[in-house]
Amino acid sequence: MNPEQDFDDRLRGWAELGDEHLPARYLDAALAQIETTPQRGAGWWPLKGLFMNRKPVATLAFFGVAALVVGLAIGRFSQQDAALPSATALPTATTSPAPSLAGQWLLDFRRSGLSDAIAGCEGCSIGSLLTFRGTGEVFGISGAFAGCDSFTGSYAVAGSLLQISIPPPTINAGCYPRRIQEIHDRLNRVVTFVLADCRSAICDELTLLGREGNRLLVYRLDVDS
Amino acid sequence: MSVVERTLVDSARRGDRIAFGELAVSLGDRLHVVAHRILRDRDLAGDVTQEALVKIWQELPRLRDVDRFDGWAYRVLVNACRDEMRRRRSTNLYLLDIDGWMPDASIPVGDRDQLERAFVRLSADQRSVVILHYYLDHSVTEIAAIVDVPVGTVRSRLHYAKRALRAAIDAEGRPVLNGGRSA
Repeated sequence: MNPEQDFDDRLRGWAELGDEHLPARYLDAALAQIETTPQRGAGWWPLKGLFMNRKPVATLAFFGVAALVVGLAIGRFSQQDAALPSATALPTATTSPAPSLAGQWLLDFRRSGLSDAIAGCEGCSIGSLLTFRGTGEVFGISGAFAGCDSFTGSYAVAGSLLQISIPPPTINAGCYPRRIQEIHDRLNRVVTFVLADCRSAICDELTLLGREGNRLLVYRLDVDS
Repeated sequence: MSVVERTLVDSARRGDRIAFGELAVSLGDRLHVVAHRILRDRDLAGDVTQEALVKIWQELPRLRDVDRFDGWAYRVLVNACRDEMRRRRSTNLYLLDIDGWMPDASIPVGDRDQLERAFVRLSADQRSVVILHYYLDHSVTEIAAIVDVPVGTVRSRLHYAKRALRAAIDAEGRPVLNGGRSA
């Protein structure tokens, strides 16, 4: 081994020495502080980046373009001034509530890669349901027909994390879909979720993802529920 | 970055405190180990990590690319370490408090002490590049992105820091002559 490599290795070994964990009191203090600390908005970061690059030419060019745009805008407004309608009240901005999981969801077998599980079964495609209740309870029907299999489990949401815990299915020979066990296994492996096709607080599509971001199951909102 | 962490960062960026709380558990550890190695003082490292976590929460909406979160978080931490060292410039001779864990047997105790003494004489910027390079195994290009300086500056800081550290080890190995001077 050459001396340079040897010295690098010694430095690496020495750099390993030290604490491995943040003592809990500091984490607790940080989290308590965060509770009362507002975030700063994204604001004007594109401009900040421009000025921070310390290139006078870029900054001058920016101001040149900005002056041109402002000049053109003023000219345009002064031409249109006479034609402007009288001032009217601007519409008030509204805040949309965060979409939630609440509601009844129908399993999309095809997009969940489970088409074969309902092959040959009329009506099975609307047979697998999942209903999230506000109490942390999740109710579901795995099979296509009443009495085949239903379950009650629990779920917890923290930010975008989702954990579902449901019991093993009761499988009868005549039940559809044929892969009930697998559906239950997948539900128990959920780590996070993605809501899509959202209109305000209502979303039409729920995708459940596993630890590696793999798609486990896709549901559509049951609009008739 | 794992999918879970990416999701947490994205949620926290949009103001989700619960998601940030989840994220802070592992992030706090990752930042603290680096702060402890740069500052060589457990309590100071705890204070700086706490300060960095709050700063990260505050500034998170300005992070444009979630995939750059790690490097950005280390930048916030390194800046916080540098500020802390500036505040305490007059008393910045710390030795790493190593109670509670086993020293690496492959490093002679003499070397370790010499490295410690030489390290605490380095500037905050030099300490940062040494730890980012030798502890986190970051390349000079990655370090340049984290500390926001040109690659050449990182190379230079690393070069001078290594020279100082090597000189400390070499000095230890020299025979002591009359009058206590090294050869």
